[in-house]
Amino acid sequence: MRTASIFICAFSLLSISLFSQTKTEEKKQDSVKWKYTPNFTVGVDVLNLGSSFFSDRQMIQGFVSSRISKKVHAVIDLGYDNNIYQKNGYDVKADGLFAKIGGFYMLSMDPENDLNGFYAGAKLAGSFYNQEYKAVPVKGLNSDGVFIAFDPSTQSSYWIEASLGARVQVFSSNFFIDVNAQPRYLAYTTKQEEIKPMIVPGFGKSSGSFNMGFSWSIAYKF
Amino acid sequence: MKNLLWIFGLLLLLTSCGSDDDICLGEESTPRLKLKFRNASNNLLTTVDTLYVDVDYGKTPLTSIIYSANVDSVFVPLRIDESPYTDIYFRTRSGQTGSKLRVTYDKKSIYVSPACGFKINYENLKPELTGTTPVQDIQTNNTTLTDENSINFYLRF
Repeated sequence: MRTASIFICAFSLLSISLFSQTKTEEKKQDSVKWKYTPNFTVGVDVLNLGSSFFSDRQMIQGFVSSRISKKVHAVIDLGYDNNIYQKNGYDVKADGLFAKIGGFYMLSMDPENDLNGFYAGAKLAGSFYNQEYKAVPVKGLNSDGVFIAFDPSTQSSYWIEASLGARVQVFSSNFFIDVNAQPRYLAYTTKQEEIKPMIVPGFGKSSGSFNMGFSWSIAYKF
Repeated sequence: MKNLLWIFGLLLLLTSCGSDDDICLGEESTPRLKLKFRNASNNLLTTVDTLYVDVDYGKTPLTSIIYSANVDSVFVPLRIDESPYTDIYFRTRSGQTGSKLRVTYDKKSIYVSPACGFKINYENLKPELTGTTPVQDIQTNNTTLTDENSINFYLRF
């Protein structure tokens, strides 16, 4: 049920991204010789999808990107993350949807195929999720195992993220492999009872504001 | 290309320092009850030649907080669970029945940090003494416990 709605959401956003890019087309045409033709690449992160089977974290994410000028691509990421944190007396559960919007710039391109190459980019991201603090530890000497529990609540978090990666075409097919790392910084989060969230869907462990994400996607260029 | 690797390395370095949810420093934890001793005859600060302090944390046997010679003060961690009071037992000789100090209080949970979770602050501390040997009576000094700077009770020996 949930995945179905994610897909519907992804495809509806995809059509929005196409629609908005037809406007930017006019500006770009004069300055850059490269001509914009409606194009988009859809990718699914297989690294995190695969690791969902082996860890407590279930994450499905995908992206839609479109080349808007010779070296610049716009990209939208969407995903669903279900994660738990059980450590140091904490027992936290969080699940929800996240979305990222941004772009990347091709730093070096393969002279023979300008879709291959290394890139760097930036994204703004937000996550809307349910969290449940089943246990938050109370620290005091000589007393172990004292917790406070809270009711489930709905929270949101926002972060900025850089992306560094590479995109390589698989032979001469329309398939691409897209590998990237995303150092991220948690900018703002809503809190329950002033408690800093321990995990944020899409962001990961959030007790420190910095985090790093990796993705390995298979993409198809339409 | 070389620059890219440098940027990548730098960012990895930044993110690797990000995880600090393991270490909770002592002062950010629940404060302890601070007790000092006075001489019952002249009310001057005094040291106790031998002191045994045991606390009931809801476990058996009691937890020994201190067994020491020539002490002038003692820090007692209070209970942080649902119990509305903490029982503290004082003895100056082994085998002695001793005095029981029951401290009742109102608790308040305060969020500290991801590593420390919550700490407890205590208000309306009320001492209740049973058994006048060796502790004869209690003088209340500060009835709120939010840090370990001020003395909460004076025990008169």
